[in-house]
Amino acid sequence: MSASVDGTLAAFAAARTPLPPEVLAAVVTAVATVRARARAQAADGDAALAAWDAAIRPLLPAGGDDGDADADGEWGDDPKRAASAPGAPAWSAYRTALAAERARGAADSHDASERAHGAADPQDAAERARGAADSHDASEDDLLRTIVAAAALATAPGGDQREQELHEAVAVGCELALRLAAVLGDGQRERGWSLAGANGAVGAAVAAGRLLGCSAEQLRNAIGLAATQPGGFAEPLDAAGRAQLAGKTACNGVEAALLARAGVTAAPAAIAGRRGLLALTAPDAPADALTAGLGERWLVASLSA
Amino acid sequence: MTTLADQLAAAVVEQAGTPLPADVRREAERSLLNVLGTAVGASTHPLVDHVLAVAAQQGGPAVAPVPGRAERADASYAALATGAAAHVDDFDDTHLATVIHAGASSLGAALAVAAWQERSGAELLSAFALACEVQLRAGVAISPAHYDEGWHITGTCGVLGAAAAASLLLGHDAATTAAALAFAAHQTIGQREGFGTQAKAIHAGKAAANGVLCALLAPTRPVPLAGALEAPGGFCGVLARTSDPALLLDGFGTRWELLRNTYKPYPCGIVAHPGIDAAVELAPQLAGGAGAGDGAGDGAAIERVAYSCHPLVPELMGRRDPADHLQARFSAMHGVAVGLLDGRAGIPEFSDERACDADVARVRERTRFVVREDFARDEAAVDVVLADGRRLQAHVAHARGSEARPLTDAELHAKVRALAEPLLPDAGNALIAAVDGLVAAPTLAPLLAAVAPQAAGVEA
Repeated sequence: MSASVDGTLAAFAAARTPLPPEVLAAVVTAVATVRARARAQAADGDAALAAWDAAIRPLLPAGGDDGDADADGEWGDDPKRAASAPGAPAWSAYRTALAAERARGAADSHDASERAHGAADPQDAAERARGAADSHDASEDDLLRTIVAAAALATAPGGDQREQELHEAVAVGCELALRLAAVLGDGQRERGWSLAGANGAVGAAVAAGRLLGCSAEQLRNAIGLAATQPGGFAEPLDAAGRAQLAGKTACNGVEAALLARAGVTAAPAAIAGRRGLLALTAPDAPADALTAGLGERWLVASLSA
Repeated sequence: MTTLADQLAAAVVEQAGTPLPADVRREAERSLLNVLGTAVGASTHPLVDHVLAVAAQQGGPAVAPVPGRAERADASYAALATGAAAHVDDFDDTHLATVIHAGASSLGAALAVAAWQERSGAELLSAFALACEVQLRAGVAISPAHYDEGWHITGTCGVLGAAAAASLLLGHDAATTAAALAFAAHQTIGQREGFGTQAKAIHAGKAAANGVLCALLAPTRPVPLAGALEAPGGFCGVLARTSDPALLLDGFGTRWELLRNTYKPYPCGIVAHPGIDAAVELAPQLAGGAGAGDGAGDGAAIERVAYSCHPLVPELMGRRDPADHLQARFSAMHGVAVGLLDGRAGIPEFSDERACDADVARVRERTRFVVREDFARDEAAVDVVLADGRRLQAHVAHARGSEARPLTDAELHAKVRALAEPLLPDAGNALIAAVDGLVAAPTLAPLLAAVAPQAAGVEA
């Protein structure tokens, strides 16, 4: 059974997929949102982003063709440009997701403190708790979207005629990550995993793998390499830590795709196999739910702006 | 209110400031030599080519060596390539209480950063020893639940040791090292589902590379320190149903888990080793009295084989029909079959060809496990029935390379020579001498020369 679940997911990951209009709309919004957030955060002169740039420098390829890439700190300004200029897509994905999530986290923590100062009525408190749980899910979904979009932006070939490939990659990668989070989420949350960390790398690897031109077999290996890296525990992370985790998860996914494209092999049943992601992080989750309605029912479509 | 990450970092930094105790130094040297040998031995493995191809596309300036290779890479990709190479043949080391293979990720991170930062031999050895110690202690804290739940503990714990080593070699203070350890705690990698594929070795390599990255990002304080290791929702609590975080620190610097590291005499999962010992012992009798090292030829005389073993053998290495060298490493029956047929079980006996040869497949088919709950993990017996009705039996109480019967220096040196010399002529002895002299070496030049390929002179 497990092999067939993984096989079905891998086939979906590799297939050309016509996107229903509402899916396309959600994906276009996702890409635009993540790109805009990352850009704004970089333009904002975020000190944490600048510190990351400085720390990561020894691992970046030396200069772009025009030599300006990291000298003036501009390379991450435009995620697409960041991908093409220094030629380090995994680090570019890290930076884009880090910046985008820092931008969102800043807005979100403002909302949270507003909520925390609300009324003390028990009814309201219950309402707020429910709202917080919902917004937790929504924020995990948003984080997954950020991770997948960042991976795609870092690996997308330039040129508007390739937009469709980008959108399909984001749609398919996001859908897989969202399905993992939806099906495995209860178990993962109970155990203490960050849903974005546990499930995001698979989505990022699929999106990046498609855009990097991986074969179906390479994509399956990319999924295997990503699924074995469910990094991140929810409880000890603050907003800044979640942003780092988003960046690292996007980076891991892109690198998984690069390694798989280079020929690295991995478990064929890394998600639903006996020692796979499901068994390790959410053993009671129903594996079949991962593939139910795949390609017909899209969780991506319900992503909010 | 200091966190466990702070306390562990303080202990690590303090220990790094004093010489290793003599027995620890000796075991650190043996551990280092062993994984340098396996890394060099696997340096032409396709997996290393794949990793270096990615490094060439997306890596930074090439400042660190990869043992046995002419190419260099940035510290992160050198760590990834080296850690993966050291582990890919499943020929490295084992800490039996946790089943951690500590040397690979420790070597990956420590060698890359030490070479990049132009550290001394003593600094490399100390960082390597502490990388082993930190990850072994993390493993002890979450064992046995963690591995039993399906995790490849070499990857999940390796990153903590790698982060410690990289932090030391970058010159971090205790506070910054603590930040590296806290970030490393979140870098989980390693499902046992990946066994029998290259992902298994990637676990060790990526643990090393993640450790380097965590140390580089540590000055930015990427994640909170509180709870990362010790909270119910942190490393120990999430990765194991039952754990004891206090074991990470208990007796640090006085009691060393590294002293319990063991070195593999055969390139496969360790639970198969006593069975292979028994098979190798029987091989000369099968060959009809020929000298040691000869096996049973094509084994046509073998009617059936009863392989009595600990329950973990079928659980971890139950594969009967391996299709390639990686799957062969998870077939205890393969190890016993080549032990009987070839009288040895080294890298050539675990090749793609040998995995598929008909004579080996025939013996594997005629082998059955006899699970013995009363057997220790390093115990096995092989009982061969021949076509003429003769029976050959061997019982091994403690496998070669077990804690009770550690590899001698001479055995370890022979292993390293066999690994290094096909690739780098005369490198085995040079490597042994370089590790012997490491603690007194002001630079890594002699060691790096010993692991550089012959043609490395053309490299800048």
